[in-house]
Amino acid sequence: MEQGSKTLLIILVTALLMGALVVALNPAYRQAFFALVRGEPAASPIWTSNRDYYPDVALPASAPAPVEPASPETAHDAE
Amino acid sequence: MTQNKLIGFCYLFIIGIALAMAFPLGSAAVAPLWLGTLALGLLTAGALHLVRRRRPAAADEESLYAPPARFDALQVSAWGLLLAAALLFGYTRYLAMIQPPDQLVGRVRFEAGSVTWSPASPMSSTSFLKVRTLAPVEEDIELRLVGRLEALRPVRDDNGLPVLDADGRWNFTRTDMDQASDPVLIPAGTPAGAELLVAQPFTHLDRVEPVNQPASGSLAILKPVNAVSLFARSGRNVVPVSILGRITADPWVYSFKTVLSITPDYIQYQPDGPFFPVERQTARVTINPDLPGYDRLARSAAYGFDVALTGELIAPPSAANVGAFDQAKYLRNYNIGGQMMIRTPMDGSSPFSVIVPQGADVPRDGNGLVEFSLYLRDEMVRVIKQTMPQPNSAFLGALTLGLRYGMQNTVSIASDQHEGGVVAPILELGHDSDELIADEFRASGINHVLAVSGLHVTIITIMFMGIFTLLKVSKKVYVPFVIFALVIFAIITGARPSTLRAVIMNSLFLLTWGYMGQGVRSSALLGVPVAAFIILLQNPAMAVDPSFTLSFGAILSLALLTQPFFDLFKKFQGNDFIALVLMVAVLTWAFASHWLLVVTLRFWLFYALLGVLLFWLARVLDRRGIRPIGTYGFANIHPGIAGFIAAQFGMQIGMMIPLSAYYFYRWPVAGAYANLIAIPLVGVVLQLSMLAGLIGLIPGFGLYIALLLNAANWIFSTLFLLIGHYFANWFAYPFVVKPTLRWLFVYYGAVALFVWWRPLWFRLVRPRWNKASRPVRGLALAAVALVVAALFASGRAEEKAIRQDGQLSVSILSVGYGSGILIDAPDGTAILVDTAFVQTDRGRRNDAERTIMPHICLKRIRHLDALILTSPEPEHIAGAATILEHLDVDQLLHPASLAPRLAEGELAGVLAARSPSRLKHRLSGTAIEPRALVAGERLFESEVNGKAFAVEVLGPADGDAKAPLSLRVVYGDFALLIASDLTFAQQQDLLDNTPASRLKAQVAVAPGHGTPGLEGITIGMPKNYERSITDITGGLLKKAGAEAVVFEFGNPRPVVGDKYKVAVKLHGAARRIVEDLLADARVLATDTDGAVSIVSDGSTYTLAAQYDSEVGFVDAPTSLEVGW
Repeated sequence: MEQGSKTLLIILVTALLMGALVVALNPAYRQAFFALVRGEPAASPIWTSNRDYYPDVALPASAPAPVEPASPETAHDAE
Repeated sequence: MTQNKLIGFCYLFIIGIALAMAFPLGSAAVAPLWLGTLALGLLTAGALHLVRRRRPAAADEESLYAPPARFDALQVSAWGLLLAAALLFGYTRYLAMIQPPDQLVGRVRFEAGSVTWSPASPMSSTSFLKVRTLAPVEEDIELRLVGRLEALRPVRDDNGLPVLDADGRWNFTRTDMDQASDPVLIPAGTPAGAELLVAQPFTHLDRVEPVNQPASGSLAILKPVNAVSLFARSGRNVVPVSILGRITADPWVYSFKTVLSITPDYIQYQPDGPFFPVERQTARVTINPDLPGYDRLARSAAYGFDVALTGELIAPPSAANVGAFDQAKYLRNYNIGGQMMIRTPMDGSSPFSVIVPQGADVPRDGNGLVEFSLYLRDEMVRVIKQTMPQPNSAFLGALTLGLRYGMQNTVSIASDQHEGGVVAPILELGHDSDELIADEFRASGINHVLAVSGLHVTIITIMFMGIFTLLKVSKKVYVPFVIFALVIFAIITGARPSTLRAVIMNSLFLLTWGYMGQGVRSSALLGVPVAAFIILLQNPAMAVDPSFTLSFGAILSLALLTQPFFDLFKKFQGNDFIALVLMVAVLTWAFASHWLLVVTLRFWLFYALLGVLLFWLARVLDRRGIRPIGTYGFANIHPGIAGFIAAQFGMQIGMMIPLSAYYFYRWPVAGAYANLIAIPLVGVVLQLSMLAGLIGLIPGFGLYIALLLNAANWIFSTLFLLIGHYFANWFAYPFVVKPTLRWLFVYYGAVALFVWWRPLWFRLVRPRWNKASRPVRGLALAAVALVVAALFASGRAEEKAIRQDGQLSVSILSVGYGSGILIDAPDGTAILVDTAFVQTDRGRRNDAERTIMPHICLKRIRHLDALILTSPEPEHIAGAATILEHLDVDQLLHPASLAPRLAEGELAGVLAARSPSRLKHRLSGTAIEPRALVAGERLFESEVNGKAFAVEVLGPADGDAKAPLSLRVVYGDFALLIASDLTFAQQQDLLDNTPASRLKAQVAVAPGHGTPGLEGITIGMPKNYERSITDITGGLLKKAGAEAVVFEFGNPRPVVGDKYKVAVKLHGAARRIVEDLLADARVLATDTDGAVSIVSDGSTYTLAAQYDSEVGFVDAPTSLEVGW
C-alpha cells in the first residue's frame, strides 16, 4: 500500500508538470487559464466547446445555456 | 455458515432462478413454494447448528489437493439441505417476481343453467378485473360483472392543478356509483388457464350475472396488480392517460430532449375516467425543449419533484424479428412498464406540471443521499466542462461519472468536425470519419470502459486507499470512508448492475481485508456470488441481462482463469517461446487482414500444420544447441505484465468470445490487443479525471489545479480515443454464429475442466483410478467416450433442427421501409434477397448490421450462396457493403439497372477489395464478381425428396436496363413471388406477358412496399391511384392466386424524405384495396405484424408473423449497457 501511495504521488506530480506544459504551449488551454484568471470562465474556448454538452450544467451565477427548440426532424429522431 | 457454504448457497440460488426461467410453475404454486422454502431453511439452520456443535468450522475448509475427506453423513445432509433450500429460494423468488399473484376475488360455477358465485376476498383497490378459465370451455359463456366503483378524481386548485397535501398525498374527491361491465364472452374451445382482461374499473365486485345459460363452466375472477404496464396501450393512435406521480431518478438531459423516470402514484386510464392507484413499475417519459417549463425539468434538481402529466402511455415494443433485441423485455427487467412522449398542444398549454405541496414554496426533494450525489456529480461535470474540451469531455463524463448518454452522438476524434472546432485537436488526422466514438469503442473491444464497473470501482478504491495511506490514516479507520465514497459513486453513476456488483465486491474486500486480514483472491471468490445474490434477490430478472452476465462473467474469468493460463504459458521457454510468439503473430495478421479467411477450415488446417512445423523446428534447434534467447520465456516477463496478459487471455476465453457471440452475435477481435494498452491507460485517465473533479470543487485554487490535471489528461484521453479509432480500423468487428444454450453448456464444461482439472484428477479420479481393476478402467473410459459422442450427436441434431433438410424456410424481415428476405433452401443453399436501407443521419440505423446479419447468425448460416439485389433503390441495396464485409458470398446477382450503382461508394470499395484479381481472395476462395440476371434464368436448381427447388427470374427482359428484378421462388407445389420495386408500368408488363402458370404463388411480396407509383409523385395522392392499385397490382396478385400478401413497410421518412406522408397514405390505400380485392387472403405488413416467416415442405406451407405471438409495433433502436 505504501508503494501504491507513492505511485499515486508520482502520477499526481508528473501530471501537474505535464499539465503546466500543456497550458503553456496549447493556445486553447492558455486562453482557458487566462479566462479563469480574469474571472470570465464563460469566455474560455474549452467551456465554449462544451456548450451542447449537458446544457443544464451552467456556470455559477449564470442561467443555463438556452436550448434551441427541436426541429420536426429532431423530434422524430427522439421518438 | 462457512465461506464455502455461503458460496454454495449463493450459486444454488442463481441456479434456482435459472430453473424457474426454464420451467416456471403457475402463480398458484408461489405460496406453497414460499412455505417449502421456509421449512427447508429452518431444517438447514438446525442441521448447520448440529454440524457446528460436532465439528469445528476450520475442519470444513480443506486444500483442493488433499486426499478425499472421510464421509460424514451429517455434514453431507447439512450441505444437501442448504443447497436444496438455496435452489428452492431462487426458484420461488423468480416465480414470485414474474407472476405477481393476482388477487382472487371470487369463483363462478355454471351448472345445468344455474350459476354459483363464491366470493373469496374483497378487492384491495380500484382496478380492472380478469376472468380466468379454470376448466376447458365446452360452450360459449357470456356473463356480466356487477359491483361498485369508488371513482377518485383529484381536487384541483385555482390554476386547475391537482392538489398535493403537505405530507405528499394527492387529494381526491370520491364518487360512489354502481358499476356493471359490458357482456364478457368466453368462446367455446377456450382452454383452462386462459385469461381475459375486463378493462372497466371496479372497487368492489358483488356478483356475476350470466347473460346466457351454459350447461357447465368454471371461472375465477381476479384483480390484477396495478402495474404501469396494465395501463400502457399498443398501437399508433393511443388514448392519452394522465399520471400523478414523482420523478424518481436523475433526468437524462440531452441537448435536444430529456428523459424522465416517473413513478406514478395514480393513473387515469380514460379521459374523464376515475384514477387508479398504481402499485408497481415506472414510466419512461420523454420531453422536448418546446415544452413550457422545460428548463426546470431538464436538470438534476428535478429529481424528487411531484408531477402531473398527460400523454400517450405506450407499451414498450417487442422484437419485430426473431432473435432481435426485445425492448419490452429489456425495460421490464429495469422495472419500466411504459413509455410516454409528451407532445405540447398547439394552444401552448402544458401537459406537464410540477406540483408544489400545500403550504410549501418549492417542490419536494428526493432522497437526501441521492440529492447530494447528484449535486456532487453536477459540480464535477461543471469542472470537466471548464477544463476539458470536446470530444474528450464527453469521454471523461462517461468514464468517470457514467454519463454515457452524454456521448451518444459524439463523433470520432478523427472526424473533421473536431478540426473545425473551438479547440484544435492534439493531432490533425485529416480523416473524414463520421463514426461515433461509442461505435469505435465497440468495434475495438474497449467499450467496457464506458460501463462503470469493476475496473472503475477498483481504480477508485485503490486511489482512495492511496490517499489515506499518504495521509497516514489507519486502514481500520479509513475503510468505512472508502465504502461510503463507493456508495456515493454508485449513486452518481446510476447504480447499474455492473456498478453495484463492483461496489458490493469491493466493499466486501475492504471489510475482509481491513478487519479480517483476508487476501484479494479469496475475497473475490466470496464477493462474486454474494454480490450476485444481493442483486438478484432484489431483481431476479437481471440474471439474463447482458450487463449482469458479462460483468460477472468477466470477474469470474479473472478470478478463475488467470492462474491456469499463466501456468500454461510459463511452460513456453527458449525456442518454444519464439514459436509461440510467431504463432500469435500469424493469427494476429490473419485477424487484422482477412477475417473471412480465418473462419474457413482451410485456414485452421494450415495454422495447425504451421504450429506443428514451428514447434518441431524449435525442438530440432534445441537439440542442436541453437537457442537465440536461451531459456527466456513467459515466466521471465515481469510478473505484473505476464499476469495481465494471462488475465486478458482468460477474459477472452471465459467471457468475451462465448458471451459476446451469444448476446450480440459479434466478437470484437481487436479487444484482445487494444485492452493490453487501454486498461493500463484507463487507470491513469480515470484517476486524473477523478482527482481533477474532486480538487476542482475546492473554492479558489481548486479549479486551477483541475485545469493542470485535465490538461495532462487531455493527452492521455486523446491517446485512449485514438486507440479506439485505430484498432477499430485495423481489425474486423465480425459477426459470429450465435451459440445455442447447449453449446454454451458444453463450452463452459470444458472451461471448468481446464480450471479444475488438478483437484478433479488428484482428489477424485486418480485415487479411484489407481485402485480400479482393468475392466472398471475400460468401462470408465467407454463411459467418457460415450458422453463425448452423445454431446457431438446432440449438437449435430440441434444444428439440423435449426436448418431442417427438405424444408424451405423464408424470412421476410422487418427492416423498416426496405427489403431483406432470407431464403434457406431445402438443400441447404442460403440466399439473401436485398439488404435494406442505411440511415446515416442522427437516427443512424443500419438494418443490414442490426437485423439481417443477426438473423443470419441466429440461423447458423456461415456463408451465403448468393446475394441477390433486386433494385438500385437504396432501401434494397444500401446494406450490401455491410453484408459483403461480414460474410463470404459466392455470387452477387443483380438486374442490369443496378450495374452503375456497383461502381459507387462503399459498395464499389468492397467489390474492388474482393475482386478475383486480388491474389489473397482468389487463394482463399472469397473473391466475388457481380453478374446481371435476365428473365428466363433458373437459379440454384435442385431436387429434394422428389420436389424441385429453383429461383426463377421473371424479369427484366434481356436488354432492359431500367426494370428491377422480379423473382419466383419455387419448391414443389409452393411458390413465393417477390415483385421488388416494379412500377405500375412494369407490373402491367409482367401481368400482360407472363403466363398465369409462371406467376402462380401462394405468397406474394407486394411491389414497391405498397407504395408503387411514389417515384412519379411530387405532391399529394394522384387521382387515379386507387384504380391503378386495383387494376394493376390487384390484377397481378389475383393472377398469381396469392393466398397471402406481405407489405415490406415501415417508417418511410428516412428513405423518401418529404414524401413520407404521401408514402404512408399510398400504403394505407394499397393495403385496404388489397384486403378488399383478396378477401380470403391474409394481408400482412412488416411494420404492424413484424417479420414474416414461411416454411414449406414442398406440398403445404405455414406462414407466421412475429407479432402473432408477441406484442409491439415499433422497433426502436436502443443501446445496451455492458460492462465488466
